[in-house]
Amino acid sequence: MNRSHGSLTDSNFIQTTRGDKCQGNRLPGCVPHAPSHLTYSGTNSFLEYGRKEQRSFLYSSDFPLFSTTILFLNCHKNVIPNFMDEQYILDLLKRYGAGQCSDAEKKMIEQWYAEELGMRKKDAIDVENIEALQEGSWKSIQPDIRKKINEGKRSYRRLKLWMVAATVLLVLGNIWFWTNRREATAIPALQYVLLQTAKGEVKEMQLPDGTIVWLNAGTVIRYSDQFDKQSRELILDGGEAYFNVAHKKDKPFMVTAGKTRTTVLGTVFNIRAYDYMDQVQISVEKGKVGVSIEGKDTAVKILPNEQLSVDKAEGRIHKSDIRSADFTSWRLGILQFNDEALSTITKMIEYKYEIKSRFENKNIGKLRFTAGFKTTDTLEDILDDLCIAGNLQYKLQDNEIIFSFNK
Amino acid sequence: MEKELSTLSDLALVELFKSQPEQVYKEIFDRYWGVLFLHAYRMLRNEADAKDAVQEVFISLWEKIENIRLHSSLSAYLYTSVRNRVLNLISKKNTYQSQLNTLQDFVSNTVHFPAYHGLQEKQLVEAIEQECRNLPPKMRRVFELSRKLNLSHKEIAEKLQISDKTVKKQVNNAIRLIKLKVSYSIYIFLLFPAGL
Repeated sequence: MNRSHGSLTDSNFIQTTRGDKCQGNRLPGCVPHAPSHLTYSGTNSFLEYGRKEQRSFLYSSDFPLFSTTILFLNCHKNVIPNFMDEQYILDLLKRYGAGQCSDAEKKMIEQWYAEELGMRKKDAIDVENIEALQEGSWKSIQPDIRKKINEGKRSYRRLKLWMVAATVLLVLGNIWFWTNRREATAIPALQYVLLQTAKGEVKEMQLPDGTIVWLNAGTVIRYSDQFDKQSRELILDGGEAYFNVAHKKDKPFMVTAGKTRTTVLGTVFNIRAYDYMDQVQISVEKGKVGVSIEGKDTAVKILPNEQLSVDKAEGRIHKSDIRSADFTSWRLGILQFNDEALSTITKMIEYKYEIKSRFENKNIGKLRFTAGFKTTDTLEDILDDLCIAGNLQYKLQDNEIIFSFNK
Repeated sequence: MEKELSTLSDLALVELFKSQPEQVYKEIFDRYWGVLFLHAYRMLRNEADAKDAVQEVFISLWEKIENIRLHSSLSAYLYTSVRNRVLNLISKKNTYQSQLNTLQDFVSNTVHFPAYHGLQEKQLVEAIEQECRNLPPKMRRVFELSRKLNLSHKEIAEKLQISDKTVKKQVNNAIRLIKLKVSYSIYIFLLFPAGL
């Protein structure tokens, strides 16, 4: 097989014969990285370079065996006409620094650097007193480094303080437990029924009162053995649950999640209270619910297609219009993200797919997405789409997804 | 303490970063500052810029050191970081016209041969490490000793015909043992204070 390394003069062709590969030809006025795009493995082809065009193109035709194909070379407009342009070089270096070069460009710069260095090696070095320079450099870095060390130590000290506090609490708790033991045994403690799902698991269950409850992955709810006697009280300890409440006029149905207490008579609603979220979100599909917040007097009423977000730390509330279907579709295995930060989305993915994730740069977690994925979409499909939309890349390694910015 | 650190290979040194960050950092600084500076100076021919470039690399090293431990060798990280800073300076300042010109020539006169690939890194390492010849004797000794220590992992592996990784593991185990012993002696000291 012949390899043609033709260089172009006035004739605008590179021609290859059957079995030939055309590679590494420089087209006049074309950027140096073009040859890597020009790797053209078709046989019996005939390439033409349109010189006067801003965009160069290749096409293969002329041979009856093959249909006509036109390939556009993806050359940047302003870099083609004159590769001797200094702006192009500066641009190239800038892109190199930002990690936005093609592989070929990157290698080219590094090759130049190595060769340049080789040339310069013959030069004599005329720096005097390197030791003093080094000393000076150390003196200007040192304060910075000291500061960083101290920051590290301070957070360690804080941790120690917390540990001491926890120990004290533990001891006090023990004392309290032993001194109150007699009283505690006198009153029969409430017995709780625990319902829970593992990560990656969605369950539908029926409560003693006929209410249907769906538990999303990694959810814990509990109710006392007194449930449905006088009232119907339930605690959502974490995760997400969807309730289709059996209508009972005289027995309100109450769900406590964090600082919120949602009271209904007979409605369909959803509460999301995952540990990784800063709020508890209550959304209504049918009927109406009242939500009261610990430490606040008034209750808030929510209607269908409305959502109440309650800040876990400070109890601040925010009401917004939503499509309730977007927040309940998880029951059908649909992953729906409604203008959510990637850091929240990855948590949802972690719970659904029993996987871990991390970001190479914490800013990645702040990107927000709105998207929906069908049950038939695989984890890879979801990650691919998120990465395309956010100009990110990911890799899967030891059951962990690692996100990084596109290089 | 510093005397002890200077007898450790880069790898062992980086392993110790968590337990004694300041000393390890200073040892790395002393080891590499000279060759990195001379390298940057050769490319830039400007003392202040070369010094700044190396300094920036060292400042960001503090944050990166944990990742280096996992992904690459210390020297490779430092060499390529300095190269990137140098290239950045060349692209930003108009005082580096001659460098830009040779890059331009290179770009317009070279046909891209894939066969060259992979050689650059090796060339870069060799070129930078050879700079130690131009260092004052004391600085030169520090650097050369560290290169010998770095070689030793590979040499041991070759002699014993085990993988390089196994050696690294053994070395790390040894370091852990030493640390354990040190902390034991602290406990013993605490249990039996002076006077007993």
